[in-house]
Amino acid sequence: MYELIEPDRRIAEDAVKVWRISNTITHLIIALIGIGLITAGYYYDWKNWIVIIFFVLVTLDVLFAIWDIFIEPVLTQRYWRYDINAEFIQIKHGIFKIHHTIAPMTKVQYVTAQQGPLLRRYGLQTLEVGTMNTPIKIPALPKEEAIALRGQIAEYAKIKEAEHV
Amino acid sequence: MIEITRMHPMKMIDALIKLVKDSIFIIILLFILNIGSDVSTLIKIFRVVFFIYITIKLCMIVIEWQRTTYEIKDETIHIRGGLFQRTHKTIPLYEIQNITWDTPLYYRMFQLTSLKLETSAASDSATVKLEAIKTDRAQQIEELATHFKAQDISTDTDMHEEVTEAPSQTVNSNPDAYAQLEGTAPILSEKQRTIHFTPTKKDLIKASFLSFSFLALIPLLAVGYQNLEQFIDVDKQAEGVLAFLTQSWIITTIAIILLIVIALVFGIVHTFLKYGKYEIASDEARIFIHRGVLSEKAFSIRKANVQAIQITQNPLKKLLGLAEIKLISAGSMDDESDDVRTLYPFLPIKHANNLMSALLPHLPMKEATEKLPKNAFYLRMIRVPWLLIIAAALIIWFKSNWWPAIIALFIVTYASRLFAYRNTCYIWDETGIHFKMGGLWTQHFITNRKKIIEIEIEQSWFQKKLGLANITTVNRVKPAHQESLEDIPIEAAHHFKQWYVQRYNDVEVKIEAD
Repeated sequence: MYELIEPDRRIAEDAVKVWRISNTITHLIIALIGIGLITAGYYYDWKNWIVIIFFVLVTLDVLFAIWDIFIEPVLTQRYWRYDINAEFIQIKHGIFKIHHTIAPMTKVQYVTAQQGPLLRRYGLQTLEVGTMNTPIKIPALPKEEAIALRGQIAEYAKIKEAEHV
Repeated sequence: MIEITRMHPMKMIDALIKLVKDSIFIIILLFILNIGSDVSTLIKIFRVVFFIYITIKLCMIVIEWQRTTYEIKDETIHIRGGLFQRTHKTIPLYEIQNITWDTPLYYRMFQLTSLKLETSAASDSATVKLEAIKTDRAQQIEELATHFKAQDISTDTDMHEEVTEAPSQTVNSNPDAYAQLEGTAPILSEKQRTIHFTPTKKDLIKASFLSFSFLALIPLLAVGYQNLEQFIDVDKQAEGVLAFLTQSWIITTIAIILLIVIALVFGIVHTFLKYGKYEIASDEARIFIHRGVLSEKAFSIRKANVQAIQITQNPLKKLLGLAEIKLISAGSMDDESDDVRTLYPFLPIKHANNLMSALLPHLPMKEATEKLPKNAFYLRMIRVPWLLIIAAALIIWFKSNWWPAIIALFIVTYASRLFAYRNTCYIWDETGIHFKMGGLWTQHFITNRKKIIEIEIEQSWFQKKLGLANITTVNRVKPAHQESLEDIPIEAAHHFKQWYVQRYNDVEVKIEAD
């Protein structure tokens, strides 16, 4: 009987750096907008409660930023696992809630490797495997590995199921 | 095959009816509420704009009709059209999965129908609508499409040529010759169809009470009342009528009984018209559903294309032993014709098992026996009832003297949690997978591992401590159909995973050509 092994391949450690940088940028932009609004509030004498709401939102954002920049990337990278064999593609990830997705190779419709400017700087690529459902994404793989995997999945996915009963 | 043809001119009338329907509100506003010539300039301007709009629309209807053509050539259906940008849609006949006939009463008088052909592809171009064609032409197209489908199953593509050469007339006159040509899969003529279900009078009366269709009378009355108000001062009249009705309890009772009788008669007539000539039939490859007395709707679906079955019951249906069976198939989830894919909304449950095993042998019924563990009960009880909290907060904030409603909500929330826990059961084996869920409203979901295109196992921190997990199946429909079962033991979730990966026992594979 065929036994499916638990996925144990990991994504690149540099993923942590990439996520840290991108999360820092996002939170900086949000904080800047927030501070801008608060300043405008003081300057133009807006209603007090509006300024207070912005204050609370910016404080919340700073708290979330600490989580998103210092803690979350490390944990996400540490717990991310994937596996690909001739029959199935698997990903298993999550910090508080573990998600384990299993899709048969025969149901794969396309596979692409993408990279943005940040990923490029660290020589990483994100692999996207499209099925009829939402695409399965394996983020931040070393470039050579991503390209090799892409080729492999494309080869495996050539096998299709006969569609009748 | 079929040469380049336009839709029937009735298409224009149909478009006209739709246009009037869509702009009825504006017409009432501009010409009935503001009657006569003694109106403000603004209304006059709007009237002119409206006339221009209608004129353009009318021209567009004619041009669109004139430009839209269909053709069947080389086993492919071509639809050309487009007003400013020419469009050309092509769909190979063998890709057509579902066929829907929609025949409103005014189409029937001219032997016309509107035909919808669907493929299982997920894109926009996956559906073709032939909006007004002659019934015999529709028959011909359906036979061509289903015929290719049937043939595709029994043999390989190399036989297509042979079939194309056969003139389409033989399809109607000599089905036996066709059956020979195709080997095992017979042509889908009326003769080979088996009728599995037609509702009896008793079923229909039950259905008309259940469907609450007599409530449809209320908006009609409201509209009538509003229209009347334009001409006479109804309110004053109504006051007089009301005073008359309430002056003695006998008259009041008679009035109420009369109203109920009218509502019931209306409901029964409505149900008889909608579900009266209902028929569920099938042949080897397809299921046929036909309904409607005046306006007709027919739907045919490939059995192999049915990805899953959903059997739902609300408390009333449970009481009467009825159930609604829905076929989940690619291309079925998206639009208004959805209710046709409901096999029959008021099917006697004792009928259902036999019917399903006759219609869909690849999705057999089975009693789900596995129950949720005790831990699942604790977890479900301690889960934060967000909806309840928000509702309670709103009630206290706005209407604090409605506080008993909070108690009622509390009881309903926890009772439904308890019922959902007690009613949930599941099973999976070589023949299929069954999830039975729900408290007062229950749902039974059936599919098999071949039809599942992806699975997911989820486990939250709490579930990990209690040794529980959620499992999700995904079926190939557009958009993908997901069905989750929550809080089963983690060992069962592992077993589910191992069960799923054995799907290679069930499927045949082939290597796709480059």
